[in-house]
Amino acid sequence: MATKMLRPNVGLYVATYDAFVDWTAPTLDEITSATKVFNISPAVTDDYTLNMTDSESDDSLAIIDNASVQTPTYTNYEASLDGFRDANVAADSVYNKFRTLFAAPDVKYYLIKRVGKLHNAAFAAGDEISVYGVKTDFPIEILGDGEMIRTGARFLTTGEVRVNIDVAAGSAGSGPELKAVVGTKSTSNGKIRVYWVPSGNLSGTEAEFLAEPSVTDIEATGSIDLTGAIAWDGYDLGASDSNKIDDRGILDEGQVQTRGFAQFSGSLTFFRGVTSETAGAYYNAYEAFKAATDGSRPVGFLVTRVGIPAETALAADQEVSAFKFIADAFMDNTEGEDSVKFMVNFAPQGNLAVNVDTVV
Amino acid sequence: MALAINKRTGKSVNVPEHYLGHPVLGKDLEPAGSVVKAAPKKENSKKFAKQVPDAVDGDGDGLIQDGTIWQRLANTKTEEQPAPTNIEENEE
Repeated sequence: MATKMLRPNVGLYVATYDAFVDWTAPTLDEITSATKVFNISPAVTDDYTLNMTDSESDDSLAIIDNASVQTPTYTNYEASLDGFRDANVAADSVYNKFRTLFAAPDVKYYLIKRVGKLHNAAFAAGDEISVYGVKTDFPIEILGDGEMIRTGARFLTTGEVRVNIDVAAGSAGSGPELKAVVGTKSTSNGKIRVYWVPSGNLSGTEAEFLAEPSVTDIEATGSIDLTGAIAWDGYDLGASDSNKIDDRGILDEGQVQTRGFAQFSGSLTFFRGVTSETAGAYYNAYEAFKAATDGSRPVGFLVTRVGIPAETALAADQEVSAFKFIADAFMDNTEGEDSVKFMVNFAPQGNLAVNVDTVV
Repeated sequence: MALAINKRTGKSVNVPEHYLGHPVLGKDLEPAGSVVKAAPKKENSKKFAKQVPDAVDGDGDGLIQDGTIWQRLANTKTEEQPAPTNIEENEE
């Protein structure tokens, strides 16, 4: 009797761009390299995407055809992995390994999927694997009320894809590297801080601030810690997938993409303080953005710090992201039974930095 | 809207009027009018340049005494013109 395969017989691995002599025919000694191939399976959430998609097709008809024709041309595939964020940023864990591997854009990897064995089962010659060539995009912070913090690793395809190929014979190494500690999941609640830093508050250039955000500038008078005034309802702030530009060479048989403009967006909903208040987080947020029609349009950076308890003071060497915006529309939200709020939409201004360390 | 100067960074910014004097948003801001100085008067180098009869085309652009009222082609020679002896003839 045929037996269905059940969960969790799948493993996801990352190989560096130079892990294979011939990526179309990985050998056992290459795929078991402990320095070039990493087992990230325990960090990846269940809704990952790593598969072929419909190939591009040509619909040319011959004169004898009596129905539509679709002939596949080059292959397509897509990759997108969300990984849990470790509550302990210093831990030597799978979660932190995942985050480190995909922290920067434009790094080339091969993503490998093996179906049929547990993720930590040793590789053997003849194991069937699928190999997907990718380049990293800017990672995304995935947050939500009552949700775990996740790092969204986003990728551009390199056109290199082979599915269900055999691992060639070789001598097995000790890899893929699998960290002994999986990690500790971290909730979004209480682990985010958001600052508004007006452009006029930067003591250096914008480029310098984006490369090394200054704690002094972020905390200077005129900058505001918005954290205490932000409601979860309508929270939308951060990078999203960059534009993916088709960019094939005449030799490419698969989908090849180049990273186009980075994309990010910002829309925050703030609590409205009672009118008698003349200080505090609600008051400051309202005062900062209420003059949406006087033509001044405040320009500045929304700086986010994610994964560190909000009560921890801002200091040097903490990872933050910074996005340049113009504060745009101001919208009251007085409906429903919840408290009165206002929403501010921020229009992106073409400059961002993701996961950079602060300096004093 | 008001033009202001950030006293800490020296940068000028457009801000809503109510930022000025605000305890948090405007503590480092000063109305631009109170601190902005007039731009220094631009010196006109042409005014003070002297003619150099033997000027050399140092940058090889075919011109000598570039940017002065004496700018001329490199192969042009200037000679002192003697003062007219007969004023009436000259007026004619």
